[in-house]
Amino acid sequence: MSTLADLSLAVEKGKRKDAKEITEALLREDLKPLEIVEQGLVPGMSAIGEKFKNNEVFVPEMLIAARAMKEAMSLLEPLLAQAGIKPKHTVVIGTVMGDLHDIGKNLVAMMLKGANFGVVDLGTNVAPEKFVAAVQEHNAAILCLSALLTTTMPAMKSTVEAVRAAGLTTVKIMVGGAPVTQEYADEIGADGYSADAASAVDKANQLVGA
Amino acid sequence: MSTLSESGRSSASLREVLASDRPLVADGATGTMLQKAGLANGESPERWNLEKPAAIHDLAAGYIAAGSDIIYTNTFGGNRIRLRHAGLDAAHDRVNLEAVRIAREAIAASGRRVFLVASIGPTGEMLDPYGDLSDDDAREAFAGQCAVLAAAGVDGFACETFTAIEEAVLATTCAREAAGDRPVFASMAFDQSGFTMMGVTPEDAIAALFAAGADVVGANCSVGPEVVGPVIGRMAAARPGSLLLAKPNAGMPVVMADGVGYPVAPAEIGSFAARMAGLGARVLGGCCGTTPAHIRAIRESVNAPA
Repeated sequence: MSTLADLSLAVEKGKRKDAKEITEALLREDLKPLEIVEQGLVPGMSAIGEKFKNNEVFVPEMLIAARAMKEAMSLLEPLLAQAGIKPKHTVVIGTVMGDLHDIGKNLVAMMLKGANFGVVDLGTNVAPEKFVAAVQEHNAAILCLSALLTTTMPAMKSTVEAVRAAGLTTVKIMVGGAPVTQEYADEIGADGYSADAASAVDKANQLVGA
Repeated sequence: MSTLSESGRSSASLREVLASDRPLVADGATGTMLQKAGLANGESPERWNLEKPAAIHDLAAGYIAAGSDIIYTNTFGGNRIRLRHAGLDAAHDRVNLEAVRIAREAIAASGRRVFLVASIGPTGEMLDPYGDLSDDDAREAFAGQCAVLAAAGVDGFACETFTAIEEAVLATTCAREAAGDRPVFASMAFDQSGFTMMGVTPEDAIAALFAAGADVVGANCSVGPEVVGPVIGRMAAARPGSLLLAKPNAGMPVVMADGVGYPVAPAEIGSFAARMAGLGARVLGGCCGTTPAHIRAIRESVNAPA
């Protein structure tokens, strides 16, 4: 018999096929989709994220774990939607204008999904007004901005300004990316900074008071 | 020690020159130099091969004047997968051919013997199982670009800034096949940790890339000299006597009063290059943030009597 712990392990190890089969088995055993997400997928992603934070694994392991989770989620998402279950908090995420780097942003997005946040990924080279519109449309609790180039860091500042100027005072803004520091986050008035994708989840949870 | 410029119109091939003990000075940054010349953030540098050829010519001429023995074509993002993101895939052949033509013109105008190597960068996507890109699609993209550049008459290939070993090996293999007798350089980008983003060690890199047919292996981009130095040291220790390549960034960019700047000064890059030459590096240059001034410093430093 498959267990939630088996699913966690399959996700952690990035075993896509196993993750799918175990999810199917758990559904046959009448486990609730939300239970499978919260007690199967989330602990698996959290485990690999912890190892990543400690430099025990690298980006490849994170990527294959996330793909295993995605495989399971593709079975669970329609059921969750049917039952009217939505993630408690929505995050809008994107790489700021002028910057085409997406790996860091993708890692953060998949870790947040893995922690059961609703994630709206706007992609790369995103203009401030597009961030503003998405935060409004999705009533986002958190906005995550990524920049991999020092030359595009100023676009973070202008995005924060645009969001606040639009009267969106409650959305928490997180920033990250290789050249970004806590100091810079403070300087531009962002609410949070994290050094890696796993810490981003901790920060996001902290910001929504979870 | 004489520079190639003083050796006149030597007909020695790049492979023959590499076999001598003489370190070769490559070029510095392309992207950050073009940004200084007005390239917008997020805009494809390769587009300028078609739209601003004079700027690409000037970039090459600047490095040649500073003393480069080798310059790279402006084709880092010139594979079909990457060009698709820039909306340039229909212009694939032209983008690559123009890069060679412009650089050749700059070399001819200088009257110096300068080698032209074809820059081959990553696809920007992740290979399966880490992402959705199939080996076949990646191979097709690299092989297609290498074939155009080989036919256009480059003197060698430089596969650079890879972080995934699988993709670096694919690119190197394609370059090797297209290059015939011409040498292939292969270099990866390392982080502060001493690994690439995808967890590759210098020892893994040198073993896999030589096995894939590279003639010169090394590190480029990679934060700056403080990361490239130890990586080259580890490569030299892993395979003594190997031909190595060091092309570091001028450090990590910092925000300065007048915008963004790179902290490592030309003189520092110059003395670093001499140290790398001592470890067996034969191709010395710079990556992001380096300028003709950095290349001039390398030229002077490797020419200085030991």
